[in-house]
Amino acid sequence: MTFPLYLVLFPYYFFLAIFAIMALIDVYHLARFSSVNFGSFLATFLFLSGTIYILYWTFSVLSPIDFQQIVTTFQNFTLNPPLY
Amino acid sequence: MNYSTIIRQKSYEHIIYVLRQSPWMLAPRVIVLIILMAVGYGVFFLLKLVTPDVFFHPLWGVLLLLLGSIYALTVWLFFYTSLINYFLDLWIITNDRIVSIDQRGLFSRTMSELDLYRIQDVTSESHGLFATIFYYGKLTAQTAAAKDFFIFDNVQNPHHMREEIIRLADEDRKYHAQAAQM
Repeated sequence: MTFPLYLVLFPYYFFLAIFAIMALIDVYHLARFSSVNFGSFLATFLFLSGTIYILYWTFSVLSPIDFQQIVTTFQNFTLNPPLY
Repeated sequence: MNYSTIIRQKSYEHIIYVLRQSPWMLAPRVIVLIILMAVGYGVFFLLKLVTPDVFFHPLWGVLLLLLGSIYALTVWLFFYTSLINYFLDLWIITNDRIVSIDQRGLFSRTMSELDLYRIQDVTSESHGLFATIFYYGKLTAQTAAAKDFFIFDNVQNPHHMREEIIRLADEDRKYHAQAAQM
């Protein structure tokens, strides 16, 4: 089976979208229910800093990779069992 | 801090205490975060040690790095969500009532209130080594009706807060008695 490598990024982008929605719901809850204080502000700041750090780490390790390359996998994969 | 919007504060009412769980309750969350992050790093370094070639594979190397990123972000988000639950779980004590806001997960929230003048019994409990050292425990406020009671776990200074609630309940009872005579 061959396919371009950038296809593996689509599930990752989907996960990032879910992550962003959940994070926004968290922040919305804080603001909506009047729980904005120094502690919650610090927690949100640390959360955003950590998120940026993880995303930066991901970007830095993936940036040298050529995602346009075609990869081949499951070369010997077949749905038909071998006949003996 | 504007809590008046969430409790619909009455004109004569003012907020006296806002109680949250003891800050020591954040410690288990931080420990779980450290363990989960350590497990992630452990698996990463174990794979690097056992099969270093897999990281140079054009497909599996990329998949492993993306999975590592997803794992780290998921753990980080769960940690933040547990902190949000901590901040949203509170008791607001006014001169008229106690409003309990119980946050269970991100989409489950229970709000209930108890009039101070109806409170008959307040109990504070502190069990265990850590609760004794760090001075937190359980606070229970109960009315004459057996089913009307509030429980707030792991609150800081539970014995002091019990005395304060009893004092406020007495004051509120006097206020209501005077209002009834007029």
